[in-house]
Amino acid sequence: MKKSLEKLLNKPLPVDPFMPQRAVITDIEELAPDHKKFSFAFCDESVNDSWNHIPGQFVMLTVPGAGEIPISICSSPTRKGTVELTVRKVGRKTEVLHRLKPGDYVAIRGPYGNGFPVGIMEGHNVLIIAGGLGIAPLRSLIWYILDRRHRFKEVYILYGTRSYEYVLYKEELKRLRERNDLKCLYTLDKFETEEDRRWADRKGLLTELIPMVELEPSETFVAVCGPPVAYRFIGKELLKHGYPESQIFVSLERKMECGIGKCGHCQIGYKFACIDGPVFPLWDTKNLPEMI
Amino acid sequence: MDFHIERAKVLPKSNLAKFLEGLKNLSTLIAPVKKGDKFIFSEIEKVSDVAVNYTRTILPPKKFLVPYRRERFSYSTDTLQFNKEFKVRDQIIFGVHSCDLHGISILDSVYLKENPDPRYLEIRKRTVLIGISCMPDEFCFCLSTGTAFPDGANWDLFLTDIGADYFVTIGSPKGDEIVLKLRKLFKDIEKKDLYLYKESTSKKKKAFKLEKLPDLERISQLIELEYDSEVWKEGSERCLGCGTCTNVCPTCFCYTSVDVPTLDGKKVKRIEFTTSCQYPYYSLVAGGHYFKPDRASRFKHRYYHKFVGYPYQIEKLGCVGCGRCSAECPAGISIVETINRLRGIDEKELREATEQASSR
Amino acid sequence: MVRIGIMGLTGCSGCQCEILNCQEALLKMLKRVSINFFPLAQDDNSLEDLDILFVEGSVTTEEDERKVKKGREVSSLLVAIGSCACYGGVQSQRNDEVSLTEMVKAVYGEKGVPVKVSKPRAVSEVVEVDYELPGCPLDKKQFVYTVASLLSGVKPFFPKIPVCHECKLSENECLILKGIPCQGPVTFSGCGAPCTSAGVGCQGCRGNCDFPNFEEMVSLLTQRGLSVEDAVKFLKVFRGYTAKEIKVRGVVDEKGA
Repeated sequence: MKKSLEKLLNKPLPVDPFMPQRAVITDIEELAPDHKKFSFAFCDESVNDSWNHIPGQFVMLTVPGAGEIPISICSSPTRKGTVELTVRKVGRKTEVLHRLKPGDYVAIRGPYGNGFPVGIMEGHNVLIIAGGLGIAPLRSLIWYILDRRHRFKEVYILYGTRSYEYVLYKEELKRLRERNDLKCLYTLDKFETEEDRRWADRKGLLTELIPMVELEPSETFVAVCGPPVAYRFIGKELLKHGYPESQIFVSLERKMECGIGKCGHCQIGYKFACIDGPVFPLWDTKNLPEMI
Repeated sequence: MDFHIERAKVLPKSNLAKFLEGLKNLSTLIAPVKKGDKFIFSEIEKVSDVAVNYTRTILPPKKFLVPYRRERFSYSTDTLQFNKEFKVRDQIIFGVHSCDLHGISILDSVYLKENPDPRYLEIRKRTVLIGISCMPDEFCFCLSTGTAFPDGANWDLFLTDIGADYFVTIGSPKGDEIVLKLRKLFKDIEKKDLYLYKESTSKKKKAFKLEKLPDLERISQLIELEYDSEVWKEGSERCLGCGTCTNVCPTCFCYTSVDVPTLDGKKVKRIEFTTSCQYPYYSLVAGGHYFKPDRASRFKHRYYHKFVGYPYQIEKLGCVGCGRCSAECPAGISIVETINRLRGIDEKELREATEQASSR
Repeated sequence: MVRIGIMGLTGCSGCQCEILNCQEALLKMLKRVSINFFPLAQDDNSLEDLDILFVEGSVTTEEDERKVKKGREVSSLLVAIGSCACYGGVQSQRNDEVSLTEMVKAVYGEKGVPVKVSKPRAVSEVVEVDYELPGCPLDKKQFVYTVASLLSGVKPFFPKIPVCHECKLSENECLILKGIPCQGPVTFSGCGAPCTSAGVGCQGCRGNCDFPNFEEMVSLLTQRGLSVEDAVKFLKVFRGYTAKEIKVRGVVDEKGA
């Protein structure tokens, strides 16, 4: 028997990575039509205390009766005590989740995935680009950076949505705009109401905000999350302005059943979105076909 | 490593039935049996059912390590208490060919290297693998994948046909124990046995039609470079998307899990079932977006994963050359032919080579 | 109690019988549901205020149409069960070939039928259908799973994968390779492949799987002795209104190599 195999087979039985931790819904906030933010606390106090994650990581959430879904964590690891997930009502499982109320039980396992390379980002400018629900994993990054503001240089947040109605974390983002240690640029696809006009800095696509960013591209790390169609255009625009491919990070969405590289559904080329991602440098798009 | 001469033994073929009977008394015995014109691995009631001279079974022995439909656990809906009702039994899988043993070592890497799955490990720990030598047919290409011989794989005993006897190599303490328990059936190895054993290697090698074997050198690069090849489109026109190729593959591991509530609504079972990358829903995310929208992308994905994905993830090719996918494909799509066409071997040339080989 | 109804339109009532055959599951079910409407099995029926209505059979007569429309109005969920309700059933296989008058004449002669009829239609062509459980008859396990899911407030999950999946995992010899006409590769699974396990080719009673490759299917059938017309006829038997998806490749016999 080969050494490597002998080692694998002689290991004692590990803790079951498929076994989730019971958690209770502590709060539900309706952010936009069909978008809700859920706050959870684990029933086991020790899990609450030891919980730690990297912005950009996700959890597998068991919706009782419906099944497991991968959801990005939208709370920052710097704010302990609760795990927050923002979920759009879009399929058979999220539909059931949206019917739950505070006090209901769910089960969570994780965190999984690689997350944004926050360690490497330190000491640099950070440009955060979010489209629609893509703000959720980036909210985690935003608060992580703001809670350690001195470790980062200039910070920009670009955020685009359909209309003001669909802007998530409205109050938070309004307050961010008032801060002077970061710059926020918000755009909407179209202006229809007075609120739309009041909210946005600009009408149009997210890509149109990129030229307005006054940062030295080589000194900047970019974090992007948005709908699948947006990546190609945002990537192109960023490259045009000289941001290095190895410093642009995109967070991708795939179908997942396990979160730990066993079910195969999330394969992107030769990588697994769950264990090798979900955050990939844009450079990977060159050798990972069908990534974006 | 596996071939300490003093530990090797010889099992006379006349003792095989007694050997199988002995194994059956030790624990559940699983071995190939005939089903119609084909063979399948099945639990053995009568040792006379065991088919030793088979070429390939419809499904690989994988089904006894990773059942095709399995319950991960169940939970109560009111308190959400999870509980496992998973029971493992001791089992001996007899008559596994070299390619399938290599297939199992690939599964070992998948399930045990990163985020080890305790359920798989437990089954694996309680499984004894007894391999047996084989001769290739027209679908086998294990010589190309380097899996024609069992060296260094993860088996407990391996029986090599050397004419009147089986040359038995012992691969693990578990295998040694079995030989010790049934020692009356074994003979000590003699000089001529060793000679015959060495000869069996070249005998198997010679049985391959070399011109029909695919060239797998730098196959990962080939697949990446030919990513936009017409070969994928042409292949996918014939592909039915039925998933047979992945279901019969000894190394495929993808599954989908579904939560199934009971009728009283008090309990929910989490069921995992084997799935295939050839099914459209495989890449479908909520909201209706298919990440692999057309048949060509799904067809290509299987090759891409076998020859680019596995080398990246577990540092081995994902194909063991068992030929099941080619033999079982209802549309007759051959993995070897696809690779040869990607290599740019002219189809006419290929046909001539095949005709020559078959007329020889 | 969840109120359910089971309604039969034009069909053989086989699916309704199959529901009655879910003996143990039925008893468990009755602890949580009340069957308010099931004319085939009980005397007192009321087609009012239902939570789930199962509809079997195709919409063929005026009476069918009236019944199913009423059913839709009074029920919050409507589930079509069986191939007739889902696709129009065997009775709709020639819908695209002949006119209604010709059909009636061929079956009933010059006198015609005493009731007003139309071409057999799937339930979804008349009213909105929430879920479809195809099969001839429907699969008992799927029925129980659907009821269990709906009672728990979850939509049932049926990936539209081909019958080959279940057939191969039952370790059957491939019938197509043996030369027996089989529709497994283009048919929606969920039945557990009982026909192919018994050596009978799949007849396609459960309708299309996702993105079926009919070109190749027809080509495979013709390579093994059927004419293109027969192959298409064979595929059309259970496909009803989805039969228009059947495509035939321009040239069919260039594949020998």
